[in-house]
Amino acid sequence: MNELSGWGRYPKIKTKELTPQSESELLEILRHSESYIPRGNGRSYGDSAINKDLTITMTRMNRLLQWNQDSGELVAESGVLIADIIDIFLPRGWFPYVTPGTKFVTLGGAIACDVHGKNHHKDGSFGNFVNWIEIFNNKNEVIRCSPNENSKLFHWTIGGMGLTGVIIRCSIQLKKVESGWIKQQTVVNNNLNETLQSFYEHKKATYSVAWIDCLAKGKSFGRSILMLGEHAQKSEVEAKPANYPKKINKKITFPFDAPSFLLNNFTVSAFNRLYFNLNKNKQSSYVDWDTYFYPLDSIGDWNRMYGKNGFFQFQCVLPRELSEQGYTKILSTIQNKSSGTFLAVLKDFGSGNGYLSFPKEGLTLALDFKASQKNIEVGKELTDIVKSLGGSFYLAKDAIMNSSQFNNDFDKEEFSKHRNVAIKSEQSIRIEL
Amino acid sequence: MSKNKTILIIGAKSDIAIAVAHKFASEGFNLQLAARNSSELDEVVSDLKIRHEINVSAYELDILEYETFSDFIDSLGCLPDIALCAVGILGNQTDDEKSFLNSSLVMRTNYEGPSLLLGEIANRFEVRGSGSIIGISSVAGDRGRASNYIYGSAKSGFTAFLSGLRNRLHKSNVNVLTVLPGFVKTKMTLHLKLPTAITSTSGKIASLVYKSKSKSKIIYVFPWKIIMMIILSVPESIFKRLKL
Repeated sequence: MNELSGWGRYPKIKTKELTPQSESELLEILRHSESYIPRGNGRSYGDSAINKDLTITMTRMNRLLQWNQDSGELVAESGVLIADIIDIFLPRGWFPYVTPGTKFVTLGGAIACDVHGKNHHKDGSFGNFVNWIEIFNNKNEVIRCSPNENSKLFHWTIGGMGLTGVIIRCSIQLKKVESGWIKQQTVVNNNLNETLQSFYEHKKATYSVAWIDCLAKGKSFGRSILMLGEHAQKSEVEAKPANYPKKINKKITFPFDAPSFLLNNFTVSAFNRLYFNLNKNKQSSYVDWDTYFYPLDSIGDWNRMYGKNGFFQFQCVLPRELSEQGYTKILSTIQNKSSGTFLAVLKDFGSGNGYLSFPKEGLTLALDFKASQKNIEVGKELTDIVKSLGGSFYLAKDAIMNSSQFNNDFDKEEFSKHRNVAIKSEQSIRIEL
Repeated sequence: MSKNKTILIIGAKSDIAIAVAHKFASEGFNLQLAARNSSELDEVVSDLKIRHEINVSAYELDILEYETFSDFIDSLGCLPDIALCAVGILGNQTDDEKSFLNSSLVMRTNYEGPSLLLGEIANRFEVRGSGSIIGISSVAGDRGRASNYIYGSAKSGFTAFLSGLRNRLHKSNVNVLTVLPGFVKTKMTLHLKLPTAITSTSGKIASLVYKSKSKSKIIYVFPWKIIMMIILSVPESIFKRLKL
């Protein structure tokens, strides 16, 4: 028995973990198991990739199977990391179309969570660039699904949290890029209204995300820094030492569990003030892909910053027309009741993939909370606010929601036809998915 | 970059072999991979080709079918620059000690097959006047222990064979490297509880092999040289009473 948790290190659950290395080994396990969940690299935050009886970690099934340098189509096993894909294909001029805020996720995990990046408003989520998927379905067969073939199964699998079947391999489309540099531009917004307006004004940018100072009060309430980005063309970065810079070798690793009292409203608001002031005078600059997309990856084990009890994340999406009202309420609740909310990120979504996929038209907010009883209560309160406004939640980050809070406006009967009932996670049991 | 050089990896399905393949491929080597049921290597072959943009070919080989060895070597696209053998099975000591057949399988797989094949390749290297022979043996061969002496004795034979081969080829331009890993976290040892402080990884072994490929000596994986010195220094009268 192993103790496993998600990236938030909360909750921690004892389970049997197996790590098959080949399809035959995997199928042997699956055919003899009555209750299990597949797991990628363990970067979802809560308990969506843990099953008490059996957790099947797919990271050893990580081989690249076919590559087309002309079209950018990659066929690979589901345990391949986005980090490896960038390592190998960026020097050949290709980059993932969609990447989440860490490169240490597997392809299987990226599909199961239908991850999104800073370009969702323009390009949509990871599932939009998946050509086909081969999964071990609810009839104990390995079958291929795509938008044209077994299309229902395909759509339920995109964002389906692994519940339709174990993803064994897939084909994805990469994006042609001329360099590994991003032209970054920052825009300062002095309050929530400006922040929301600013997304609208810059909707043509390929990448956009706002870091929001969730503790600023009064006329600075909701102030933020919007960070925009474009892939730099070759001609723009000729002065740089490398057209395709290598990944940053890990600079620091968080060596211990920080004492949890270090993160409180005082220290966090001091940090936020500092961060805001440091960034507000920045204009435009070229940054390498690793710094731009994955600022936290360069700090190894940064999840230890929240102390040994871990933390949980909260990410919701609200319909655009209710965003200002909703986020005013959410930010005030945080300011009044929680402590140690460190990272708050706001991003706008274009239209989504539907089915179980999280992203949908509107604005999304992501927050970190130190896992304390008080914050868990606040998290539940925020969940109710979002629910009352018709918003929904990102299951890859959830660790605390109950079944009545889960936004279940999907076709349950249709889903049950494609669900593999042997597959359960602690989360799917908790929210009755 | 050592472009266009080729390494033959025998027993290519083992975790150590795959790690070695990635290491040499990342340094520009072309690969010849030999294994039983070599179609199981399809994914590994495509992965190596795509990641490293080198040539990879897979060959069917059963290490127990000695009579096929000459033809096998002839069938390789070219006589490789380096031949590495990572063949090995751990067996199950308590079952094997009660069965001639099981014991013999462990002995032949770990000792006879690898020695005979590397011996034949070494002869061809000697004729050509160049080449490197690399054998992955085991510290288990340094002293027989109750818990795995069938495996250990076979590895001991393999280590001795490589020593003799190294000795014979000393004046030729062919080097013989013996690598003695201690505990390594691989699928062969997946079911064992190994102490993390002295357990290595396939990746570390691959780097060590790459660095030492042109040497003619025995190398231990850290910190097993010291551990084995201590184990070898215990007098047999005491050693026989220990639970090891």
